[in-house]
Amino acid sequence: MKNNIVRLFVLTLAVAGFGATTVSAHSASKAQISATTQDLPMPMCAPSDPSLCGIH
Amino acid sequence: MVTELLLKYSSIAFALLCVGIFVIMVRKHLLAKFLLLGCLLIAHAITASVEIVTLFFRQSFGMSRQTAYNVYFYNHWISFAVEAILQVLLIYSVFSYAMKPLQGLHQIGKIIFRWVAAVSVMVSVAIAMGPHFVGANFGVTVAIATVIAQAQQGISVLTLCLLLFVCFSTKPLGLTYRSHIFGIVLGLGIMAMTTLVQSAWSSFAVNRSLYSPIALFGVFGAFAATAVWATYFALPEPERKMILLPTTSPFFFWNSISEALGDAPGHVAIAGFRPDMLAPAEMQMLSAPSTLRVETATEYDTPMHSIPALHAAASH
Repeated sequence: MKNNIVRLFVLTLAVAGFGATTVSAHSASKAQISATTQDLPMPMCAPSDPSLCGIH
Repeated sequence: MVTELLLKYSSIAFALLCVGIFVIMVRKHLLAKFLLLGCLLIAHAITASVEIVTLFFRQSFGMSRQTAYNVYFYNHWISFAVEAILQVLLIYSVFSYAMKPLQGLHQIGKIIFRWVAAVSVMVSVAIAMGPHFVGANFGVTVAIATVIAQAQQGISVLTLCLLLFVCFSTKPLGLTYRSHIFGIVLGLGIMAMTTLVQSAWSSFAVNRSLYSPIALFGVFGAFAATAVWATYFALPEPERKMILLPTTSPFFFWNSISEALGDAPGHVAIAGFRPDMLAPAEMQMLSAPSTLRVETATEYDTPMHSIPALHAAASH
């Protein structure tokens, strides 16, 4: 039972990850850096962008 | 405002947790075994510290918005590249450790791993060099950032594949769900899933603020992954089990084949061979049996009277 729960959790992670890859591959809006990050927010604006990604 | 507050405290908690896991690893003498994970945790902690300062304590350090964003941008992408390399090496070391009992499959996996890494990098570079990214509004910096981001997506897919493999092959690998190896892969898998979902989410996001809910999702994912590592390292690890495979097991079968595939092939000279191609020692070795035969034949042809013992027996 415990093993099945772990397997189900891992499968959920994999399906979510692979599903997200498919979605991002089909998205039309590619004119920005694809956001990927492991810890803190990823800066998606170029340093010359006047908005500075809303930093305050 | 609530998102920003949550982001602030969860980021600080994440940085502290990274340091905490590193300390646990040092105290439990696990650093030698999982050195790359230790390096990755330290890299995360340093990056997070710099980013927390620039995002939330900029005014206390007297930084302008532009300076803070520049520091944030370059720190993020440089450390992101370093972390991506460390993550690939960590995945590889985890794979090697998991596959230790099956040397043949390990060899084959190593070759596949290198190809996947090379193709992932090439595809990332090709995408970044495409018309969407190299244009008037997108400089070289953004193109480089895109390469790193695309490579990171490839690494995330690779991580999820490794997680699936380890999860469903624990028995032939002698592991359990309480093994440190599984814990590390599970943590990496959570991070990978977060990364891929964030990537898909940001494709549709209008708000590119650093304090957006997408960022919060990423921090929560990273926090969950480090919490998994902390739990696994805090708990005692069970011994690796003896691996008992049936002879019909595909793991046993493919491992035997892979071991045979790894052997260096022999070579046969078909044509164009001349004796002067041989080294003197090789000539000596090859001519030794025929020399011995000649000597033996000469010995048998020796007349009886030349052997004193036989000659004496014959005269009696």
